[in-house]
Amino acid sequence: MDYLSAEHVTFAYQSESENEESLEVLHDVSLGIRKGEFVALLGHNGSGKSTFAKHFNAMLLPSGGKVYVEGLDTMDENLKLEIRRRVGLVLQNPDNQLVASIVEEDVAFGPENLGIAPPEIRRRVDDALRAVEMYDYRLNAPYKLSGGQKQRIAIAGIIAMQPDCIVLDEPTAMLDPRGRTEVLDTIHKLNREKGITIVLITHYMDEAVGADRVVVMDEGRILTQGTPREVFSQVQLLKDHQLSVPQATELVWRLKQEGYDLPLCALNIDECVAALEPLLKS
Amino acid sequence: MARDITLGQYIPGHSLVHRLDPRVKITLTLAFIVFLFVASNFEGLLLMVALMFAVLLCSGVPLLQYFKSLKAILFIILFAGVLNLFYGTGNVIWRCPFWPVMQITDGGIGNAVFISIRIVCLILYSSVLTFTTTPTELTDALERIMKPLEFLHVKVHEIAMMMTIALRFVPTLLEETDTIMNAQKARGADLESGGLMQRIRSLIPILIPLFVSSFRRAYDLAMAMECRCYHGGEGRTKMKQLCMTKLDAAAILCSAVFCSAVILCTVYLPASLR
Amino acid sequence: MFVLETKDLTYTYGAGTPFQKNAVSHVSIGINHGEFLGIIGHTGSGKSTLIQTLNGLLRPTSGTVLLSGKNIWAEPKKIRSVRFQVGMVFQYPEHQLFEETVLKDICFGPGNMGLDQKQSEERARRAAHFVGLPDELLGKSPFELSGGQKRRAAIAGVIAMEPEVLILDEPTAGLDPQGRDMLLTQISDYRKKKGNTVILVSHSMEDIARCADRVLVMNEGKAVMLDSTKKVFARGRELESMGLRVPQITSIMLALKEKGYPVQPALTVDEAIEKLRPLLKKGKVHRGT
Repeated sequence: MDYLSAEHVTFAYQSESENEESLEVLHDVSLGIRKGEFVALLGHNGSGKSTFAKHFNAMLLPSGGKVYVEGLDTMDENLKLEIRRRVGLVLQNPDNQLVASIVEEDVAFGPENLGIAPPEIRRRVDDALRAVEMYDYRLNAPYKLSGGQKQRIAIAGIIAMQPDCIVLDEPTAMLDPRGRTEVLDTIHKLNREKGITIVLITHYMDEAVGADRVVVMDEGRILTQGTPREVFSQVQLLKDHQLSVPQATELVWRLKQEGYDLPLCALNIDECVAALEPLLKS
Repeated sequence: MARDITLGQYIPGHSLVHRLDPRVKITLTLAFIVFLFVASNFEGLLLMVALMFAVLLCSGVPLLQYFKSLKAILFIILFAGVLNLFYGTGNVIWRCPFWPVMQITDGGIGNAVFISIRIVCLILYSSVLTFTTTPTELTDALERIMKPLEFLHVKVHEIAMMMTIALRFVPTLLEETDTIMNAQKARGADLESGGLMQRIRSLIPILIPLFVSSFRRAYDLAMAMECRCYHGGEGRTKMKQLCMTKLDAAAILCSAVFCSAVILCTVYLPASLR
Repeated sequence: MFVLETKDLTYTYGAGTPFQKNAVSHVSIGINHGEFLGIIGHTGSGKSTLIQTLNGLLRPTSGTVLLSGKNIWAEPKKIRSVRFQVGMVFQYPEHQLFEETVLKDICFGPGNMGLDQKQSEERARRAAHFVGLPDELLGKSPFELSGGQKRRAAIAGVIAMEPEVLILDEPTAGLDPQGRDMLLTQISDYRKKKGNTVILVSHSMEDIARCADRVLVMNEGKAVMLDSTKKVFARGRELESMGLRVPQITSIMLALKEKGYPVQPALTVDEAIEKLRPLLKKGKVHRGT
């Protein structure tokens, strides 16, 4: 059984006036995500990827179709808290997720809401902070931290609830390169070492390259999915849908278009260099 | 550039006062202030002053810091003092030649000194509280103290949550104000010159974006809180528990002794305010 | 003569306190009229502080800033006029919108310059046209616009002042690939049409490589490199040691060169293809795509 399962999901924002039609944002989207998978959800702004992601922790409920978390139906009000404990959501703005004026108190917020016993909360907070490598900052004030550090605290706050899955909605969009690297390294580590399922929503191609599976969305539908290699070799399709590919991929693709004997896809610098070398030997 | 704003000017330390339970500190501070006004003669007041010095010394905060906090309200102390100089009965020491009603009596001088000492003590007692207690400890303590009000359907938890969030965002909002001001200045906004009305009008390009962004923050934060299973105060536990120790008991006992002595002074000794 | 010049510029935060820090140290640079200058550097390198001294938002602790040869702080009371000639767009500029309509908001800058309503509106409409904002949006409240439209309205608000120099701090932050592409194209077109100077501060090396004539590299408050884009990105290893990287395509060409191939550096994919074509083995196999 898939850990996360979306079946023929449609979603429409309810319009405020009676005359306006409600805007349908998702059209018949079906997707299964296995436990322990690292899935990247790619799409341009307005493709529906963020709206879709918010269905996985019952922040949004489908207008049509169903969403299941480990078999639990998200439409069931009684299961809402349990679903949100199992599936955490990290948002884009690092500042607007932190509630307390001291780091360790913010990380404790989740467990406190779950009514966990205080000594256990203490233990979880320390473990969570160590997992994101922010233990030394536990007594600091959040506003003094960098963007990357704040996002890691937000992630720690989710980990302290011991979820099985973390959905991250463009977590690096507002960060500088160093912050982006910190956050990505952290989530890859959590996926590898703790087996936490990761759903990463992004429009950065180079972030999707490291995923197990890439799902591309456009106009509220799934356009294509597969391994990063399978997806990024469809360069024309991506370009037609307002996405781009890493420069390495583009270079190899365009030369291949001109007829040179090159592999289907190069995902990074090393692969690109390796692909070009045989053609350069004089 | 992030400003180093510590609300209430908390000064970290491990003194006796730092280690007291914040509920005890808040309650005792309020009690001391009340007793400052219960003391009706110099003897009683002197007792409260002696207590204050003892507390200041136990707080581990340099006396210079306390003087700095007094500097801010020096004007108020002087004003109250001078005003009381002219109110009083007793032997007239000086009479204003142009306006015979204005006169300084020995009673007036006594009043001025009395009132001034009261105000100084009031400020210093409050300063001890804010210097030795973190804002988080203060909100936690207030939440615990107000808990009985839940019987009167007062939403104690929600109020405490609002205070926590407000404290958390004050530095962030100050930073954002800075950014917005710079952005508008870069478009030629003049925030410095002009009369009162013009200056107020020049705040609009700053306040509106600030309000809009605050609403957006509130929306995001509410979503983030729900994602972390927030559902109100019911069933919530707290990682940091407040607990009283022998130190708190000792502090309460000493304070009780001083305050009882003040009551005795008030009852058995003549009043000093005339 | 440079359009903007700094001479031994230093800015110290918290001077005299124990938290004293030199955000910018002894920076002397000259910016040519009409050029597109990129500024790169790790967070904390002094980029933001530097640009804020260029438009008079921050007063240098020591050293001078010259606009067309004149010290901008010669008459401190008139510093506001500098900001009309050196326009600055901050990060996430859409957070500064406040007026009732988009048109009024764009008119804020020209209005502050002392222009009357008619002149302000003319400039506002021209600026809106430059950034690709359709006319029908001008009468709407700025808060009704989409994120991308808001950003363009905010940028128009600065362009409407028709500054001699336009400084943009991470203008593409948070935009998706198509959004970035469109915005950078519009900025380039704007410069070509107006012939004025543009300074772009960015973390995206690809953006800088695409647009900039010269690049200034800031590190720990100092200006460590100021040279043509090509020459700066050719020093890939040095940039890496400062925590910076080069555009992916430049890395690829550099890696091939290090392996011994006679490959020249390239800043964009187009350029790389041009440079590689003559070197690739003839007798290409014609395969369907």
